[in-house]
Amino acid sequence: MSSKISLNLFIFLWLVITGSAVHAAKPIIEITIKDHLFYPAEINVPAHTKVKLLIINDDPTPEEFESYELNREKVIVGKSKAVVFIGPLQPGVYPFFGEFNMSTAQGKIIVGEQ
Amino acid sequence: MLLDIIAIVLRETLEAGVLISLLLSISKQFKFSSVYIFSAGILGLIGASFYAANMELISLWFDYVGQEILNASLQYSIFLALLSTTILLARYRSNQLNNLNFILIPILACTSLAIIREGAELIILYSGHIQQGLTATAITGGIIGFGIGASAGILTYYGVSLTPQHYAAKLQNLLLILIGCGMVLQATQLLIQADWLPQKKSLWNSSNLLSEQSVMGQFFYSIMGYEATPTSIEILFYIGALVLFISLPRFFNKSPLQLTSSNSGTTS
Repeated sequence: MSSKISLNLFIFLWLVITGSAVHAAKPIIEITIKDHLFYPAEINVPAHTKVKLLIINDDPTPEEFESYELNREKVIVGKSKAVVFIGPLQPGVYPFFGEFNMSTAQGKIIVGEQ
Repeated sequence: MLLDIIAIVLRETLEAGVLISLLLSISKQFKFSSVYIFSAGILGLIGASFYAANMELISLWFDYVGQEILNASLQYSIFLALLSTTILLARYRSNQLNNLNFILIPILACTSLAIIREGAELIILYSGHIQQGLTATAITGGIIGFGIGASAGILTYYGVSLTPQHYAAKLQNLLLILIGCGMVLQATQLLIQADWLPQKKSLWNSSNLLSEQSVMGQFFYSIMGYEATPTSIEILFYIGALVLFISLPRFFNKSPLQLTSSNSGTTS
């Protein structure tokens, strides 16, 4: 009986630890699309860390967040938000763009050592 | 702006165009009526419109990664349909296929699924342009992009159709395998993007040799899912798909009858 309780306790603790570890390992960075531009257009991200990008499309028109360097591609319809996970990344500069408005919607992710 | 629209429309049409042309050339070989493929195309368009109309809702699924999961599912399904086509073609070539119509099922499934996947994005792109007031640039760009993509498809169709019978079978197989494995690579990348699979370091970077942004890069992306910086997981899934494409047609080519007779041959 006690072994069952300790097992449950172990599982609970393990879930808490890994859950919080996963949560802590994924900082959330917000990017807004407004008038076919990214705000901020330059984002600093720590190296070797998984990051959750929360992209808010404030325009009424759709946009596609895309990056060849990050291997990411996602449609974000007008007045909605999307989540894109990136990393863990090596230090460097990773450009991204809005495929539907490439002439204006440009940005980059700068990965630096912490 | 014009070049941007041409590039987007071209990329989407090229991908679906090459695949559908290949399937058309196979169905022509079996004298299937083109009405079937046409109907599958219409069904695909309806599906794409439905997907585009519900994109916002779908994007919310699975904690904001619904779009990745649905696109990956579509691409894995296309892979399965292409794998089934390869198996059925192998059985046909060794006279083990009783009902030719079986080949039609995965061909039609592929056609619809490819149009849903690529069509939805184009519908969303144009819905934005219509909202802003459709310009001549958007229309011209669409027509040129579609024209070049469709030309590549027509070239594939005649390329495969005019190849002598013996080589045509090999060419069809090669294209089915390349496109099928490419689908798996792209779908796997979407699962990594959704954080359903872990992100590993890129195994190599071939963007200096062939950039994904270049015309050739886009072409290879559409026929074999070319990726300049693939990770170990993507390569692992790609190899897995390749192994299935090579082994399963051989495995299913041994009919139960053949297996029994060879077994009885060894026992007697």
